[in-house]
Formats: sequence, C-alpha cells, structure tokens
Amino acid sequence: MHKILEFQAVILAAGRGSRMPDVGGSVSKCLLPVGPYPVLWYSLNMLEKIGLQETMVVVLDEDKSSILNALEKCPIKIKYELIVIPSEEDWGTVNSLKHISNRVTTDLLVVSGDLITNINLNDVLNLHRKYDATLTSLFFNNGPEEWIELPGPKTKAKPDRDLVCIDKETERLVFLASASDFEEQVTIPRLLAKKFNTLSMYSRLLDAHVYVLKKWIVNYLVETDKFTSVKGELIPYIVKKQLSKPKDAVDKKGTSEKNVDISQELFDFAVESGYESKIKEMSSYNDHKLGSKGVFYNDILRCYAYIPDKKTFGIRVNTLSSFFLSNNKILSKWEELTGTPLTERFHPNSEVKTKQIDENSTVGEKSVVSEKTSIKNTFIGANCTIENKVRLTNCILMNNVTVKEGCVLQDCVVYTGATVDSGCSLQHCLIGPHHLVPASSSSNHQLYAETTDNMITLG
Amino acid sequence: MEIDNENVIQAVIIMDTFNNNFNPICNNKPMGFLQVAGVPLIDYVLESLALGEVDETILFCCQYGNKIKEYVKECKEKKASWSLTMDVQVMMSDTCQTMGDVMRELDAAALLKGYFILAGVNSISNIHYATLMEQHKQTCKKDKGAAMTLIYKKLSWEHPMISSDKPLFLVANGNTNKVLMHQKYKQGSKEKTVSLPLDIILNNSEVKLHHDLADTNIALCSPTVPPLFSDNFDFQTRDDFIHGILINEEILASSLYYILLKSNQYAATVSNWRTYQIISRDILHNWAYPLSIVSGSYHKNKYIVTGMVNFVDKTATLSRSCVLVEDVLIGPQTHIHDNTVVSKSIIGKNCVIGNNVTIKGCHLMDNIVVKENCTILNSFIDSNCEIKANASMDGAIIALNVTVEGASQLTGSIIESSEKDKEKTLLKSTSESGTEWEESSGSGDEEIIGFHKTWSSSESCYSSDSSAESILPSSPIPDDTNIFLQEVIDSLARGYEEKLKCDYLILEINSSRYAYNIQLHEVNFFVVKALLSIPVISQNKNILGTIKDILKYFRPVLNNYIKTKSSIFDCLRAIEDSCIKCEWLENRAGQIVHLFYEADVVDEDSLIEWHDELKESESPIANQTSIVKFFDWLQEASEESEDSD
Repeated sequence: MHKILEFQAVILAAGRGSRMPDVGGSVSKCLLPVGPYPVLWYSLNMLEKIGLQETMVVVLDEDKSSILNALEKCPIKIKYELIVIPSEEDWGTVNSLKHISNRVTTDLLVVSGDLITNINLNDVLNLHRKYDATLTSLFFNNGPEEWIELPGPKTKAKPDRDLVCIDKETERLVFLASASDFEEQVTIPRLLAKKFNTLSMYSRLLDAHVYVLKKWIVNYLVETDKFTSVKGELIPYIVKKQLSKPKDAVDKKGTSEKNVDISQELFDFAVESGYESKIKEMSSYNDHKLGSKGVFYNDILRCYAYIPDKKTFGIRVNTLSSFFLSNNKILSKWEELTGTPLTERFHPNSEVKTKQIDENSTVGEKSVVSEKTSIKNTFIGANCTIENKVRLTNCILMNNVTVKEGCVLQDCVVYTGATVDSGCSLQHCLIGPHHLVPASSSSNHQLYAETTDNMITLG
Repeated sequence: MEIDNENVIQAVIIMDTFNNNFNPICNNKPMGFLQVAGVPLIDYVLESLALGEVDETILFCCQYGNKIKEYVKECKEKKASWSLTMDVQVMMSDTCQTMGDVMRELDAAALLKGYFILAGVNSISNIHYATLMEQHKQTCKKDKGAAMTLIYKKLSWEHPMISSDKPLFLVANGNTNKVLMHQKYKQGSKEKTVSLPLDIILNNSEVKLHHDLADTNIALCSPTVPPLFSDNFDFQTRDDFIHGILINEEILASSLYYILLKSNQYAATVSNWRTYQIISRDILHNWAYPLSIVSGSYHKNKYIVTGMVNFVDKTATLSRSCVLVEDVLIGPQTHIHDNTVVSKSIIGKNCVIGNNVTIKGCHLMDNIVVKENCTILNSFIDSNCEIKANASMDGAIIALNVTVEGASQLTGSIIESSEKDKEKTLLKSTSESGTEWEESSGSGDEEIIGFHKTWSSSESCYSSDSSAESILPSSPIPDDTNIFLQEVIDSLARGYEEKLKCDYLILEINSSRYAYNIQLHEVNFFVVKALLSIPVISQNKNILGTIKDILKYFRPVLNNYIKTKSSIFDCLRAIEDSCIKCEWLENRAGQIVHLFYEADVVDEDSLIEWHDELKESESPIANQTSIVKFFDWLQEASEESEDSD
C-alpha cells in the first residue's frame, strides 16, 4: 500500500443527526451502530484502506469521550486526532473547516462521518489530480432508493433531492442545486448549455459528502463569512462561480478605492502557481472535442464529480431509513466494504445460547441471548438481555436493551436502555431510550418514547 | 431477387421547403435544381439515399412536379448510379401548402408500407439510412408508441450552422433518448437562462440537455406518423408535429426519440443563404464524402485539384496572371482573364470573367459574363447574367437573365430582372443572407477554430422555415427601448385614466428611464410618442379632441421634458414618427402639430426649421395636405404679426 502525502483528510463527525427521528435523549450520529462498529469507524477504515496515515476528526465537545471509548474497541491502524468544536454553539460544517484551517497545509479531503461505502477513494483523488481540480465531489448512482417499511409512525415526508448537472465529456460538475429551490421550472444558465456539449441532469444521485478541496479554498473560507454549510452553500457557490471570470485588475482597483476594506473574492485565492498555465498553453491536450476554446474552456475554477458505477455500495447513515438499511445490508457486504473478513459476529464476552440465530445477526459485548430464541437479521448491542422465547426479525437493539420473555419484534429499533416487557408483539416500532414498553403491548408503526410533545421528525 | 415487403426501406423526400428563403432564385424552378457547389440538390439527395441503401423513394412535389418527373426520367435513361438500386417515384399535388398537407396526402394515397425516412430535398447527408432505420425499429420494439426518431448533428456552439439557424434546446431521457422537451429559440436570442419543468428532471433519473444541435431535417418515422397528421389538422410543420406529440403524449400515445450522428457522419440542411454557403464549403472540403462533386452522376466531372482546395475543370481556361486563392471551384469551359482574383467562390459552366475582377465568397451559376474591373463579394448570381464593367456588389442576389449595368453599386439587394423598376432592395434580410463566407471558412474544419464573431442583432430577423411565418416579417424583438416605450405608454394611460398627478408620472418615467438606461433625448422622443400612442386616442372617435385633452392634462409632463430647442426637435420628430406609424393619426399630422403649437409646446422657429428638414429628407408626411395647410397658415400668421409690428 502506497502512502498518500499530498492530501490531508478530515472527517466531519460533529453532525447531530437532525434528519434522524428525535426520540428524546440523543445518540451521537457518528456513534450509531452499524453492524459491530459505530458509523464513524467505516469512514476511518475507508481512509485507512487508501493509504492515508493520519486524519483529523471533527467531533462535538460533548461526544469526545464516548467517541474515544467507542473507537478504542475497534480495529484501527490509521492515526486519528479528535478535534473538538463547542457543542453549545450550532456550528456549520464550514465553521469546522475554519476551525482546522491552520492545520491544513495541502489539498484537503473532506469526508462525512456518516458514510459507509465500498468505493476506492483513490478514484476520486485521481480525478482531482488528473484535472488539477478546484473541487472534486463524489456522487453515488444507486438508482431508486430501496423502499423499506420504516419503523415508527408512518410519514409522507419525501427526501429532498439534489439536481446535479454533469458534463459527461469533461466530467465537470457544472450545476448543483436542491430540487426544493424550484417550484415548477428549473432555470439554468443558458451559457452552460452552450458551453458544454454532453450535459446530463441527474435527480437521483446521492451526494456522498466527500469533497476534495484545493488548499486555497480553506484560506478563502477563513477570510469570508458567507457560508456556514459546505454542502448547502460553499459547494454550490464554487460550482456556480465556474462560469464567471475574475474581474480585471483595473476594475478592482476602481472599487477598492471606493470601499477601502473590500473583501477578497474567490478568484483572488485561485492563483495558479508556477508553470501550470504555461504548461496548459503549450500542451496540445484538450479535454473537449468541439469548439475553439482551450483546455478546460480556459476556466480557472473547475469542479468535478465522480460517479462510480451502479454496483458500488454507498450509503449515508443520516436518516432512519438509511440507518435501518445499512444495518440490514452491512453483513452481506462486509468483505467488500472493509476488506477484511468479519471474524467476530458474536463478541467473545457475549453469551449466545440459542442456535436459531442466522448469519446476518451480530451480538455485542456482554449481551446475553437466552435459549429458545429466534434471531434473524438483527443487530444486538452491548449488555443486552434477550430472554426466552423471543423472536427478533430485522431489528436493531442498541446497548443495555432488555427484551423480556415471549416478545415478538419485527422491523423495530430499540434505543439504549429500553426495556420491552414480556409478551409484546411489535412491528415497525421505534422504542426510545430508557423507555419501558408495558407487557403484552401489541402495535404496529408506533413510537414509544418520552418525548415532550411527541413531535418527531422523520425524513 | 425477391423483395420482402417488410424490409423495404422507403423514403419520402419533400421537394419543397414551403418558404421563400431562396427567392427569387427558386421562384421559377424547383428547389431541387438549386446547385450547391455545381451539383443540384436533387442529385445529392438521391445519391445519398442510394448510398444509404434505401430501396424506394417517393419524391413529393407541390410545385414543378413535371420538371422533376422529366429530370428523374432522364437520369434513369442515363442510368445514373442511384437508379440501379433504388426505385424512384414522383408524386405531385398542387394543393399542398405545408408539410402537414403532404403527410395527409401520403396517408390518403397509402403508398407507405411501414417505416419510412422523411427528409427534405435540402438535406445533404452521408449517413447510412438503413442502419439508422434499424435503430429506430429497435426503439419501436421497446416503446410501441415511438413515432419518430429525429436526427441531429452535434456541433460546437460557435459553429456557423448553429448561429445561422434557430438554436434548439432539446431535453431527453438519458437512458432511452426519448425526447422530453423541444424548444426553438429565436435566432440571436440573448436569453440568459433556459428553463425546463422540474417534473421532467425528477421523473427521470438522468436527462440530457442539448443546446448545440444542428437540425438535419431528416426523421425516421413509424407507420403511425401519416395517420397522426391526418388526425390532427393543426399539424402544419414538423415542429408542430413535435410539439403536438410532446404536449399530448398521453392522448396521442406517441413519443419521439432522437439520434445524434457520430463524428464521421455528415448531415446538414440548406435552409438559407448562409447555410448554403457553409454547406458548399463543406462539400468542397469533402466533409460529406462519399457525396461530392465528382461522385455519383457526376463521376465524369474532371477536376484538377490544385492546392488550397481549388478545383478547376480540365476544360476551363485560366489566364496566367489570375489568382485562385482558396476554396474555389471553376466549372467547364469557363474563362478567367488576366489579373483576376478569385477566392472562396464557385463559378459554373461557360462563364467568362474579365480582367481585374475580384470575386470573393460568391456563387456564380452558368453562362455568366463578368466584365472588367468588377468587384463581386458575397453574392449569388444565377445563370445567364451579365455584369458590365466596373460594377461592384456585396451581398447581392441576382436572378436569372439579368444584366447589371456598368459601374453600378449594389449592396444587399435582390435583383429579379433587368428592368430597373423591379429592382428591390431587401433590407436586412439580404445583408443577412449575404453570406459570411469570410468568417465561416476560417478553417476547413467542422470545428471552427478561431471563430469568435457574434452575429449582430440585425441578423436576427431571419424568417422561419414554416411557411406561414415566413411571409410575415417576424415581430421586432422587444429591446430595452421598446420596453421603455411600452412602460411609458402604460404609465401615461393609467395616469390619464385615474387622473394621477403629473409629478408622480414624471417620477415613474424617470425611474423607467434609469432602469433601461435611456438617453435624455430618447426620453423626450419616447414621451411624446407615448402621448400619441395612448390607447384612449385610437378608441375615441373624436381623435383630435382627445389629443387636445391629453395635451392639456399632461402639460406639466411635457413642460418637464420639452424645454430646450433640441428637445423641441425630439418632440417634433416623435410627432413625425407617430404620424407615419400610427394608423389613427394618418393624414392628421398638420392638426397634431397645430395642437402642439397651440399648447405652446413647440415654437414657431423650430416648426419652420423642422418643416425644411421634412422637405429635405423627403419624409412621407412632408407633402400631406394637413401639413402643407398648417405651414401655409403659420406663414401667413407670422407675416400678419410682422405686419402688425
């Protein structure tokens, strides 16, 4: 495995999981269990696989200790440095990047802490290297999202979709917007359609939130206060700016005389150093066939998008459905995801007495699974107790969960410390932390939690 | 050989373009006989169909059907190469006015057995029709409703083929190539954005956007197409058909697909003079190979190819001192005399070009005599013309049998016959059709390098291909000044109706003025013009009375704008302009000027000065009785007042 020195990596894992149902009492998003390990581990593992030696991980102050605890138990070789940001203030992802800006010395690979994928990130880095890109992003083309029946009350909320416009010939990312920004008509600059010959507009791509940024973008972020979110604001801004040209030096002089403290523009940072422009001039290489423009259409800013083929597995654990789906699939994809065979489906300190537990189930540390239980496709966290005659199908049981005798749970998520009393029959239910489901309850699509006003957001 | 009816490939060629883009050259001969690089269009078409393995061709003529019939018969007797593999029928109908009529006629005649190729006589292409037809049939297997596959050629946006036609914005499904949206822009349209319905994007995981396609005017049709035309009488053109299908996709249960040609396939439509010129050059440069000036029925042509893409027939005689610069074709028996310079031009048979002539970017047909010292630029000269000595022309189009007098100067004119009175100057449309060979041939490549010229807006009124529209001049593009004028009219009309304060109106006008960046003198002009264009005037019977009222009411507004001498002139010019353009003010110029005079907006001196100007510029209103009367009266009045002094 070769080492990568030209990129620094940062994992943004300070997300609060705002798209997850709020069931009272929070589990940090990056610590949600997927298979035997927390979500964050998969991102670290992915970086480790491509040969990165170290990475920064931005986490919330309040989560730091629990993350350290959790990661200690996982097999990790890559060096990681936790960088905390205050939990009280609602920092956006751009703020996190600003926070680490003084440590950034090379181009930056920004990875979201909730990504699980089997893609080789080198493909993305190579695209960035190949075109000397300003920004490179990764989108999954997984086709229509698999429909699964979600636990909890039914909702009709539709996920917001990104409209992504890519020029296939040059692999340029030329337009990025959210479908909710438009009502009936989508307007795009006509210039785009004139300039690029092979435009394709996608509406069902999943943004992996993996970005490779030039170092100067971080410098620019430090100077400006325009942005809070990388995905929502910064990336669309840079993508849009591709079409514009830097102002002439003369123009600028004029304005700077008027307003003394003129804020610096994006283009002021995008200065090509060394021989890049000369090489471009002299080379006969061009990235597009038609037209009379030079290589890259003489653009200074260039955004690219990498779309792996449809077989690639990629998921972001940021909604209940993706959390559920990832747990459903993780074991069947384990080897291609992590590159190592899964040895310990059942933690050595666990006690599994039943034989009716299938290959797609895992049992965490110190959990006890009693006899005469049937467990299918279920994740069982640490310190859980499963009593006799329990049937679990497609469930996620987090830590310290107790399921008493004779329960039948199907497609349920049971949060930390909850107890399901004997004789319950639950389907598609969400059980909040430390909640006690009374004995012999029987329900479908129900939320059991001590939320203050039963306001929940699914989405 | 047994012919399997199922697999016979049929083609329908519509021999008319239903527009007058090539008037007057195609006034009295079929479009098919128009020569491109010395070869009539009909030969290119038949040749390319035969090369594309088409088995049966129906030539549908709405005009001059007999001429075509004779020509085809003649060719068959001569055993033209296409006649050996392809069966050609000529169909005639004098009643058809549009392409839609043709399709309905074909439906009634039931000549079409199944899938067929639909193309115009002006499509020049080297594509292999049989392969494309196979693709279309595959599409039809997947989608039973597939009615038509449109064929496009992808070009760079800067390519002159795109700028000389209406730019097309096409949206299609990325996986199936099903057309979802088809929108034509005005030529030279300056719109900054394109918009497409959100539904289209959300319902398809991938949509392709194309804004750089050249329409080849070739389509592959399913058997359902003629009945669709019969069922929908409003389908006049192919564009109507496309839009009808896209809008009523569900009702008509039909859909459209498209195919982009590969880079080695050539297809283009001769739709106007400019594309004519581009395509001529492409043919000389052999982009349409195997279609060329020496293939097919023209294999007997013997050209000597000298450098710089110059083709000279063996029987042509060139003087030693004449210069062929580049991209020149000289036909048989043509003589070119001393010190003549020819570049980027095509000269037909039996022409005689005199001494010291400069020919650049021109198309000269047969039997033309050009005398000494002429300069002919970017022009088209039809057969049997004579250009006398020292004539110079730029962008002229000269019809059959015309003699151009010596030393005449022609710019952007169309000359239909030698009689002087018939000469008409085609204003913008010819300077547009006059032929920017210069720019377009910057390089022989389809991907023009170094071609940066943006067409000026005057070129934007190129009439469309649909017959109905082409007769009418296209409506002027609303530019800023027009919008400003409309806004002022609206403000004033509203102000008059609701009796608003004039001060507010002035504010309103001024803010519009800054919004559209209008010069002060233009403001004066437009305010007066707007005053005379308030809808109330034309609605009222007592026009002069209304104008008087309006003038009285808007006195403060006028006082605000019309103060200086130059602004008075702006005002008078506006009156002149309005009186010429507005019907309701016809023959009332004198009275209106009188009203303004009475309202003290204009003074006597300016009026007299203006009157002189009118006479000088031969304005149409100068001799109007009302004006004459008014000035007579004014003269008398001033004399009287002088007398009384």
